[in-house]
Amino acid sequence: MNSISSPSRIEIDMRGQVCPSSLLIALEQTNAHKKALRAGETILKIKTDNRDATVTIPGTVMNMGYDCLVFKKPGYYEILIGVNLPGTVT
Amino acid sequence: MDSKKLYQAITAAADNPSAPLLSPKEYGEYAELVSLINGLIAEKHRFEKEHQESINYIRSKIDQLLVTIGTAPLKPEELDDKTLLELDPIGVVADSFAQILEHLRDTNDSLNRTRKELEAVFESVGAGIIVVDTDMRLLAYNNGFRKIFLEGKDDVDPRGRYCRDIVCQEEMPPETCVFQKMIATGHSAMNFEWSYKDRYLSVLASPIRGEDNSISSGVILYQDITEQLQDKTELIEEKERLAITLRSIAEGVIALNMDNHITLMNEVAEKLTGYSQEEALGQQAEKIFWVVDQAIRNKALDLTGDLLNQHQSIGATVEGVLISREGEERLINASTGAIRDLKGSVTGAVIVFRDITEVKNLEKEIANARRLESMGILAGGIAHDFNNLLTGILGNISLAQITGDMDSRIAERLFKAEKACIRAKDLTQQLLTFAKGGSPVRKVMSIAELLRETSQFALRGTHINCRFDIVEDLWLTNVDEGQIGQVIHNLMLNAYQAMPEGGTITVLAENVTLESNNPYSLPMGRYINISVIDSGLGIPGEFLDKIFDPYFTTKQLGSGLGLASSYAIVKKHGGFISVQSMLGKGSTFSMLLPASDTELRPAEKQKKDTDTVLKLNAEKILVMDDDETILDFVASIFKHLGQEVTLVRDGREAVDLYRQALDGGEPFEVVILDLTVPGGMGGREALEELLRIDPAIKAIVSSGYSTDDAMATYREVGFMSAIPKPYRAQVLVQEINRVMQIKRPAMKKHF
Repeated sequence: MNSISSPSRIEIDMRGQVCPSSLLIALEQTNAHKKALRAGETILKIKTDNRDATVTIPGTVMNMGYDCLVFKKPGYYEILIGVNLPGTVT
Repeated sequence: MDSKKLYQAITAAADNPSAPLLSPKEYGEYAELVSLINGLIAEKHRFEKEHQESINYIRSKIDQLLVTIGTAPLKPEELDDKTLLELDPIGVVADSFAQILEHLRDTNDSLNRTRKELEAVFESVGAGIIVVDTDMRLLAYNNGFRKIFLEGKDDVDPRGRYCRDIVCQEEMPPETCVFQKMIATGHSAMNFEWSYKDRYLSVLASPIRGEDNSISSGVILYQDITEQLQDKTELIEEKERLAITLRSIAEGVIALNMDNHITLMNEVAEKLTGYSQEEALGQQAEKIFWVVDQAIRNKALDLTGDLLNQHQSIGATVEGVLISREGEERLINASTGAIRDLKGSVTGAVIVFRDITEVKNLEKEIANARRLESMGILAGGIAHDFNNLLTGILGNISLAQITGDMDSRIAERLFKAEKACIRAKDLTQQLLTFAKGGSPVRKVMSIAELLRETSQFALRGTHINCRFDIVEDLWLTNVDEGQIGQVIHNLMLNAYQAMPEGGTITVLAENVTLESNNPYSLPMGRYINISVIDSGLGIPGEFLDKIFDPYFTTKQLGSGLGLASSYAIVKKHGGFISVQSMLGKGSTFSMLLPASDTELRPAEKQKKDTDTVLKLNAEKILVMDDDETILDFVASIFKHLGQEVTLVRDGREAVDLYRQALDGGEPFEVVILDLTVPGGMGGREALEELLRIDPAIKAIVSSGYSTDDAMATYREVGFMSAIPKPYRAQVLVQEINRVMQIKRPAMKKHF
């Protein structure tokens, strides 16, 4: 699991990993960066090849008050978590 | 048994909980140790089992938490037991749950705020609002609704009741129910104008949809539009009033926007420009309303440029020539004004213009009439004196002829002199007529025959054809036959002389009815219109204004009196004469004469003037005239007849002498009175006195200057005859004899 931080984006690449749970990692990172995410200063970008994660992650983070976008990429999915994401209804 | 074997057996039993424990008996000396180890292995297996059960418990609780926060439970392959403990999933889910709660709190706060805002909007909006369920039961309402439908019923709580009970007050929803319509269509529905009591409401029903997008309830909004409708009605009425005003005014009106494009045009403007409003809308003003300076015609006048560019309020008033779509030119007077919006900014301009072609023509006509009047006074004065002189000449010639015993050459000269005098008399007659001297001696007649006879007579011996177009039921007129005959004669001569190549003259006579404010300035009523239309050379424009001026002629042999006297005659008859002409196309002279309401009487037969032997049937005659020539001539006549005559120079003398003679028992049989005596008593005044003295008096009026109506209406004044000067001896004798035969009826006249 690689994680690249930038002032505006935290990227988590979980491709090729079955364990541990993508959802729990996504939630852990969302909790860890809660302040910056809520302020709109940071966006969490998750790359995963776990198809279930494209359902469980958005469902949970949206209940937590975040916007979530899922993009289908070649061989994997890209999931964005943040607030006021372009293209989302607030 | 060696220790190595024992170790392997212990390890196998410890690693596999389902493997049987070691049998101590088999291990001899180690039996006691093996029993201890067996106990430890059993303990280990129990611990391992408990550990796994704890892990499973944690996993199940994590799954429970995950399901609680709305997601799927973990799959075992997603997280091994080791990572499960390292990752602290419960902590993660707890933190996430905390965020969910925080988000819910924020959402609740936001919803509360929105709810309060909605409540404020619900109450403050200037309309009645209700929320109803799909059965149309009221769920909520605002104060606006209460004000409209529950005024004075503060104790009534409408919630839970059917809206139709309160609003429509009917058992079933009416056909016009917007809520039912909204339910049926699935979209908002509106009734734009619903009458409720003395008000008008607009009613709008909008759906509220549930999670499954089906209509769960609806909002109905009632807005009082009574004032709006009134304003709208007033606006429409105002617009209609404005349209009618614009339609009925005599001025043309054109409105322009800031781009100088036409935005409005009334009917008069349509008529004068030749374009319909539809065609003109949006066009540049100059394209439609083409106005040029009267003198410089190459460029359209910019009437509104200053208004639109410099933002002035009132533009200039200008006179110019409006050239219509068909090229017709009308003289107009145009004024302009700025159109401003409520803030006072200029938004366009309006041009109001009037066709003043007729007015200008009339002004010219009036100026012409004044000029003619002053010239007429002059001409009349000259004619009066000239007539007196002519009476002397003509009278004496006629006397000389009667005297006889003369050389035939002298007789020939006298004949020529007399003929010249008669032509001179005709000339003064025309001059007098022009000078208003000839009050028409009218009678009611049909002018049709006069038109035919006079026209044919005037054209006798010419190559001109005359076509008559006279309506059968031409109204009668009350005219002086001689004078109107003279006018027709003049017009025919004019027409004929304008057609050196020959051609056809059309004489047209028709009945017309004039309204008040007609362009001829004639009183309203019935008229006959006579037009003489030639196809001759036409009259140049610059001559048209002067054509009725005396002594104005374009003909080498013209006297310049023909049309001038025609003008005076028609005017004197209460009519109007005008000319229209186009060079090379011909001219049309038209005269309007008032129609008579009286029935036609048989024409009085004119007595023929006979030149037979003079014999006077009266013995005592009194003649009053201020002119010595006349007196001398009259004296000569009576001397020639061997008859005495008493001559006096003014009315006073005549009255005195008449009274004396009457008192003396030898009254005058006939009195001849001159009408005009400068500085003394004239004939009319003298007759008034004479009639008082002797109501049976036989008096004849004579004048060369008949401005006084007495010459035309001599009977009404009390005269028995009128002799216009100059006259021949024969005429004088004839009239005296005629008067002598009249039996004077009892006088009815009172002065």
